Amino acid sequence: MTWRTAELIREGLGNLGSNGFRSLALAAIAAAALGGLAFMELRQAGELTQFARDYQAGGAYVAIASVPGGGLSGARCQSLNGVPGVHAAGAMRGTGTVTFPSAPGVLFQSADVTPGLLGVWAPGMPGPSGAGILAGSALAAELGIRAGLVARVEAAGPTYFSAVYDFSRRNPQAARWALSPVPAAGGFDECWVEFSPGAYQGGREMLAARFAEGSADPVVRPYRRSDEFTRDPAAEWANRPQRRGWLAVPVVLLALGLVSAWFRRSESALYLAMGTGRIQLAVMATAEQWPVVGVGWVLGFGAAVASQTFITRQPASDAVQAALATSGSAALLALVLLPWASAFVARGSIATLLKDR
Amino acid sequence: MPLSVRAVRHRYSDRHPWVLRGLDLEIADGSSVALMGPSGSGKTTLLSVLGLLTQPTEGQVAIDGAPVTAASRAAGQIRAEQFSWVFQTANALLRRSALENASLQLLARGLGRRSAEQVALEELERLGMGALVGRRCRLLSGGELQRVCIARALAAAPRWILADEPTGQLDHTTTLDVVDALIDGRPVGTSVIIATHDAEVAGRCGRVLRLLDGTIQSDTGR
Repeated sequence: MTWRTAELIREGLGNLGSNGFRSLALAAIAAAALGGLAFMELRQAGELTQFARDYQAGGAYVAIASVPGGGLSGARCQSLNGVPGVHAAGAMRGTGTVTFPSAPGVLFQSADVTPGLLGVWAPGMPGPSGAGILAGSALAAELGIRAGLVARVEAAGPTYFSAVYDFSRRNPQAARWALSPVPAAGGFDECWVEFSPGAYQGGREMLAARFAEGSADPVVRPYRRSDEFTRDPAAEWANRPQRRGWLAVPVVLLALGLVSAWFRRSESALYLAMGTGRIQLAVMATAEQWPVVGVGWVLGFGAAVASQTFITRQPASDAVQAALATSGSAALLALVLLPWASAFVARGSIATLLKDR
Repeated sequence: MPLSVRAVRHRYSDRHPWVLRGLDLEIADGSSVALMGPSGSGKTTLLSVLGLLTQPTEGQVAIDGAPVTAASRAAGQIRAEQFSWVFQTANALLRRSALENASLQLLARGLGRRSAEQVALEELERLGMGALVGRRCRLLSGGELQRVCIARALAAAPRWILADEPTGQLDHTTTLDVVDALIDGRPVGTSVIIATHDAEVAGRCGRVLRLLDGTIQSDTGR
């Protein structure tokens, strides 16, 4: 008969409780290491997530199809709405310029747009209520126009403006345009399409094929050139310095555990001299070290999330998940490795260990 | 014989000299044996070999005629069930209480904590430590701490108690108290093997082995 497992666990917990300072110090170190790792992940994932959002909001996945001389099918463009991978699609054609009596001599460009175009140029904004002209925000500011107002347009008379749109993120030029919503029938100059990120490359090829039928030599170009962006979020994330943190942090904690076990080798020798096996020693160490690492991880992760929340108000959920996965993996590996430190230090002759005391 | 060594030679590495040079020894149940000799004569090494803490370089240790290897799983079981140790520098968990330390060997034998502490408490009280059972060992004097270690050894009622200069750091009065507790207070049937420089301590033992340069020079009182 040898140690009961429950007594081994109790013995480990007894050793944990017998030296509060050591236990707290080790928990603080675990919290610092695991929390530091979580914080680095949160910071970088949050920053890249924000960049990716800005990148997408800036029209990174918007493509524009046109055909030389115009005459692009508005119906084909509008029908892209609902196609998998397409967020929104709409067509536009320029209709010249308009002037307003309230700003004599100032020319404003006018265009016809299909309803889906607003989903590309002003994503997230509600559609116009009722018929009427849509004003870009700069035009509205210059002429004092707001939604629901009737203003006089030269050559057209009193005209109802149903909405004012901010196009600054997707097509800043249109901020000074007056837009007329029209059905998708007939020919248009351009078809604007926003894809989901994963569908963008294939979507551009699909656009070229779609408008090749019935239109000569369609041209598909990105709204933003790829070289406008010097950052590659995916590559940055893949090469982040802390990507091996799940391994590095447990190795550091293991080194610390080995040092601690070395200073306590006479205790290990005492247990071994009484017939305790090395695996039993590891079980005892498990009971002693799991609470330390567990508490350290909870405190460290909690502090990292709290710090990031304080800095960014609300950390992105995918950033929290990344930090949880990396620091959680590190904590789990540390939980597996640390209990073997005592058994490793106590390998070899028990008599020699006893002499080392 | 219950505990025996045959043709045991030992050195700590190829570069070191032989510490034990061909020892043959038998220890009967219930005996008290003193190992005497100058420093470096091999007393501690012989104790380690007898107690299955060190595997001799050559020769074998046998219990009840069956050879045992120190590194084997069986040796761990035997250490838990049949041996107890008392060391010169009282080896204890200094941040744990006297009672927790005195219970350790019984826990290692598979007893539940309540039963182990009950037996250990009785042993501590028998050794005059009843008032100090809850005190952390690091707060005890050297003599008190050594008595805790003796209580740990005796409480387990082992077949053999191995004591490596248990009085080496104690004053004369405490030494006699500790030796009395160890030799006279041991359970019936338990053998005590004490490595010591102290002739008075050796005189309390029924058998005295004198070692010199890893060999037995004399064996008196068998």
